[in-house]
Amino acid sequence: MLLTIIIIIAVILGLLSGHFFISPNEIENINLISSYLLIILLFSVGLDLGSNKNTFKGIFKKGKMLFILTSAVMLGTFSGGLIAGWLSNIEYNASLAISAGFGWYSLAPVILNEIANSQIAAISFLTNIFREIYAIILIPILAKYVNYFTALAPGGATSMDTTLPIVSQSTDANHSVISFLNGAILTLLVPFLVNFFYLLGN
Amino acid sequence: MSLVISLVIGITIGLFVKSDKKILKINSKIQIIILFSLLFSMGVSLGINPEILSNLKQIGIASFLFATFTVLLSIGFTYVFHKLLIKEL
Repeated sequence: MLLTIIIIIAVILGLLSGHFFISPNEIENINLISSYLLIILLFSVGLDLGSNKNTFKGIFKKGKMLFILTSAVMLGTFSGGLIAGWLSNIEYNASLAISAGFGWYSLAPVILNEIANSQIAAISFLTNIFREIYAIILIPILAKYVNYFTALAPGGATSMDTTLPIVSQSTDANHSVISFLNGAILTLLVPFLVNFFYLLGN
Repeated sequence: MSLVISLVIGITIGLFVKSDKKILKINSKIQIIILFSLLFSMGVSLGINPEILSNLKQIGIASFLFATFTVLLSIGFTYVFHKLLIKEL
């Protein structure tokens, strides 16, 4: 719970700094520093995973669990996207494309800005940020009150990077590995599925 | 790709420091500091974009619906699949 509070404070501080203090030409440097920090973060998470003896046990069982998790997340994400699109009067192809970002707010909107329009791109951007915020808040809560496996569901593509440390702090090494692999598969699928779904309507 | 390489290097080194609790404790603290920085910079990229703040109502409602339904149904399917298919846990 402390972690969630720290995270919310970090985002709010960033929001206020971005709005009041930081000039737009500084954002490129911030993004560059962030991409390096993310690499260090993944090294640090890897250190956590590697140092646990149980991490690489039961690969076969993990394969089954991974398949179940990724299928469930995809089914949930696409059906959820169709419902949200129906409620917001957005075409089914754009709705599926928006949901297929799986929380990857830097890539999916860029693709949609190119093949769709800026409105869809903006919705994709915010949807993915909201998804990450949901994941940040819900992972520790689901891990504590439901079960570790269900806590892996909200993260989507972010399960391999930004929300992975939250998973590793909230669950165990086994679930962190499944979370990473699930995030890696979804991340790989994002550029393909966003394109594929949007072009279904044309 | 660099993220995957970095993770794999971390895991490999992790295999050799598994008994060193001191290193793991420091590592955990570093993890939280970097996470804080990354989330701060995500906040900056939101706060700095004027289009997002001015059209927030229209775009925001649709985005909220998308995020809410995709996350809720992902959790729902995962919970049900876990109950039905992974009985041993």
